Amino acid sequence: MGDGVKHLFSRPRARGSSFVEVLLAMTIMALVLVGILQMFSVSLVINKGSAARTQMLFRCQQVVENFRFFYYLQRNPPAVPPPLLTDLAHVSGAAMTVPGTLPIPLSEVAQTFLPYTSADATWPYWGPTGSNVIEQDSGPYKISYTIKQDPAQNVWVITVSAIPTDVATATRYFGVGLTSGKRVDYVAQFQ
Amino acid sequence: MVSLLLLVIVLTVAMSMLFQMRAFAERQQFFMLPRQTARRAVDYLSYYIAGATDLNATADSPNALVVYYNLGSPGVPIQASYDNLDGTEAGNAVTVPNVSTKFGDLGTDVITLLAPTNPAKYLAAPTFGGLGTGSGFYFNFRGGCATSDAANFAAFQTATGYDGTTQSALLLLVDKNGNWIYFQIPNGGYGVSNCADTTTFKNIHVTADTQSASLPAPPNGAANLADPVFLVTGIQAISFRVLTDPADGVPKLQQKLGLFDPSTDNPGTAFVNVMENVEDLQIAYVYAQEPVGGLGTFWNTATNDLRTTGAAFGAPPQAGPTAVPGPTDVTKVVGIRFSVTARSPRLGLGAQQLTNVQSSQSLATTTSLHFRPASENHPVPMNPLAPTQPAYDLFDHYRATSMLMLRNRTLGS
Repeated sequence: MGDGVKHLFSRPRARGSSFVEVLLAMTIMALVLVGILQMFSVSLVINKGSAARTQMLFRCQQVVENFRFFYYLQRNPPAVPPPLLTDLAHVSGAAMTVPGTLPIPLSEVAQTFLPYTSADATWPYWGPTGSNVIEQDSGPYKISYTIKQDPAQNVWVITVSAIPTDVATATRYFGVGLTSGKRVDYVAQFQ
Repeated sequence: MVSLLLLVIVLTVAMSMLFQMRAFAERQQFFMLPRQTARRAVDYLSYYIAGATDLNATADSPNALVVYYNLGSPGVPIQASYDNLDGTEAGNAVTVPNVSTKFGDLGTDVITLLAPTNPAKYLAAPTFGGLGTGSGFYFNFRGGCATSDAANFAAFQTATGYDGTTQSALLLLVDKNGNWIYFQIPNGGYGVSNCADTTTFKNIHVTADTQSASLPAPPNGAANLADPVFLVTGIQAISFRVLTDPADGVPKLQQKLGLFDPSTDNPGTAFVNVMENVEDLQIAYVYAQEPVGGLGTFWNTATNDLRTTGAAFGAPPQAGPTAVPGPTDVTKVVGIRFSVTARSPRLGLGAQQLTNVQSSQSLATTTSLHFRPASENHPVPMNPLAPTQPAYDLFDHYRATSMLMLRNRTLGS
């Protein structure tokens, strides 16, 4: 055997990683990847939550604009506010008997929800064939309103609130529940 | 070998999850885009609709919404706002079957209104003469008198929107009774400034033709104006429509700075794109009183159509100052409920697999949202091969609706 061959067989053992080292590296990489992937899903949920809040805010604004229309007509006789929404027998401070109706004359209203299903009485006005404030039957949000008088400023304060639905069988926002804090309150003042 | 196998497994799992996440993100993007587009369009239109006015407070802004105007000599009524274009309107025709007409997309509405941009009113020195050609007017305009007559003259040209070569912007003259006419000052009509007149305030002299065949006139012709008469400046006629661009097949919200003119806006070049992927614009007119007893105050909705009252092409009539307005006249509209339907770009393959684009459910039972939704009196497009099914497509759709009181017709409310 020549010197060259001897040298080949006598080469020092190649340095490298042991199986345990590779396993450890893989584990670390897997953990990092899980963290990164979680970032995507969290951003997805945050994005959905933001979209939900935007949608609910938009709807609250529309409710106020419809109230504005209603009371404009009421104050400008002989204009006639939509009879569907008119409640002449409302007791100040109580909730509206029929969801989605409004008191004439204007008085304080405890929290009252807009219609939520197509079976509700004022659905034709608030639903998709009407003002489209409530976009679908048993949709992902519920809208309520309160009316209070502010005697100091001599104005009526209307607060419209939207919350994600609590109905389990309804269409719901992805990752947005009642406890998500995705509640929107929109406040307007009427003279 | 085992290490390599583990590496492959970890990477395969990670990559498949990453691709899935990418598809989810893409799906969400397609879900959100039409919502964002529709709301942006609603916001954009709200600015003009809520503030629509012709500064004619005496008559509650009678020309804030422009449905008709007269043009030519003798004046011929020109329609400037339409409901549910179908191609049969005067001067219109279907250009792409099931998609668009010359004026705009099939089934969509066109609206023209006057919006304030830099509103101001200037008294025309009495006595106001009759309408006619080459009429002379003096206006109490002193915007530049603190400097010089030259500065006052230049300020007047700026206030009246002089384009530097041919004429002023489209202006209005309104009188004490709320009667009004369109008004435009030609290049040669700008006279001289006389700031020294502080007695009769005839500070700017103008010569203009108030009965030109090329100048729009109120529908049914102009009424004589009675002193005091005011020049209204700083208002802008603006028209909106939806039209699918033949170049890329994308429906777009378009606007024109000016009155809609069927003879040139077919489709013409005056309209510019405002927003892509807007596929429907619907206008419901909200009246202060029920035009027809018992049918409510909202018209051009799913249940009330102005066509049933004889309105041409579903748009409210506009009597103008010389005729008696009917119960559905546009001057009796106090609010607009308008809906914008937007759509996403075409869904990618990954996003299609995460939603039910291949639905075959009927309209009554469908849970798919991949078809243009009904909006006011514009129904859902149906599949001609399966008449109970909506015309499903590969887009996400969203309809945003806003109701706005015309602030200048409901002042104090």
